[in-house]
Amino acid sequence: MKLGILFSGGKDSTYAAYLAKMKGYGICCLITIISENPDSYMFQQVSEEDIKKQANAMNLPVVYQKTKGVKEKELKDLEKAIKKAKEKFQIEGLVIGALASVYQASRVQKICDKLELWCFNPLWQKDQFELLDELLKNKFKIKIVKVAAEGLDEKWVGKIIDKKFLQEIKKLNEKFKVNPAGEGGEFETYVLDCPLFQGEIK
Amino acid sequence: MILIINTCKEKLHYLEFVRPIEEIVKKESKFFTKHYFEVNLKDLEKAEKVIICGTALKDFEYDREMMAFSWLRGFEKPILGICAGMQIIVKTFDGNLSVLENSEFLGRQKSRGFFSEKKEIGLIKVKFDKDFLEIKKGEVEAYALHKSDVIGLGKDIEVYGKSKKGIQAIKLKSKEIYGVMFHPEARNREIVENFCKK
Repeated sequence: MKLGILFSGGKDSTYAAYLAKMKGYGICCLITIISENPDSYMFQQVSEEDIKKQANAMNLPVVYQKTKGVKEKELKDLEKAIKKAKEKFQIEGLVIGALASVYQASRVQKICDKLELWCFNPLWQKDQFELLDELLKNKFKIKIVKVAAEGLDEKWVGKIIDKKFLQEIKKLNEKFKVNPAGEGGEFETYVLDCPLFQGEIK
Repeated sequence: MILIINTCKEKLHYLEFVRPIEEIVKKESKFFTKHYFEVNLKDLEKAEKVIICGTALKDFEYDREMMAFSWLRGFEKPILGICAGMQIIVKTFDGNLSVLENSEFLGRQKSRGFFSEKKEIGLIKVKFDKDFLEIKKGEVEAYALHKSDVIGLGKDIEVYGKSKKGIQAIKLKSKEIYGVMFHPEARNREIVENFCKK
């Protein structure tokens, strides 16, 4: 089955793509929403240039779609992007990297249903500490690019997720209930290297 | 030992619909997982209980392969059916389901008059009329992901919970067989936990 990946450049969507590939699925394209809203519930803010580097590393085309990021209206832009990917690359399904957000998952499920696409969410309900462990075991090199939670200050920006980070995030989770995988927007990431990439992004 | 039955057509959906159930069950009991095509007599003898998992919105293969569940009618041990699992239970025990217009079953369902616009995706409110697997009578928020609706029930099935759009929780009167239309692995995990502990 030919799949598109709803891709933000972060660890979750990249790992979801990796899992799809490991299960033998063909990945045809990435679908990236470029949002003007830094506080969107749906989309991480990303730059086309950064996504392009990752797409080149995976040898995959990207379908970009801009959005103002207005709550609920941004879903029309998402639908446009997925429809474009379906028309241009004949994708039969979409892979997303939602962990526990019913808000995100159900909205994408509705769009896929409307467009008659399969929807795959391989990280759904995954234990977030286990996720971070697996990322390290599978040699993902992940940079923290934004923080927005109590206990996570500017000194974290630019750091690479490693075993020390896992220990720190565990303490922050216990003290401040920081979501260990950052799905609530506590931190955002950018994948520099992983088994899907032909080379590390410098 | 609990037998977890995978109803997914696509192997990638195992991670979304079966693994989360395994994660809940492993805290309460030993388990083993089999795809419904592979379940055999030895598995059913070994299992003390069975959980039949749900699957994707677009996946109706299990519905075409009901023969694979022919063991269900005579099974005397506890079963929990989730979404597709509940639909399998309903059909096995003389009930009926409907699917929506854009489903591939359109022609067959239209001729049988089983139309329904009861799609539910996302959070819904489920009202339990009586206690269900230790969930107290009252309203809970649940995560739904289905296009089918129960439109006819066999005599042995009792309704325990409903949403605005349809039947959400059932139990057989004569056996410890339970079904939920929503996905407790996303919301209301205690349903699975309590089933394991029962």
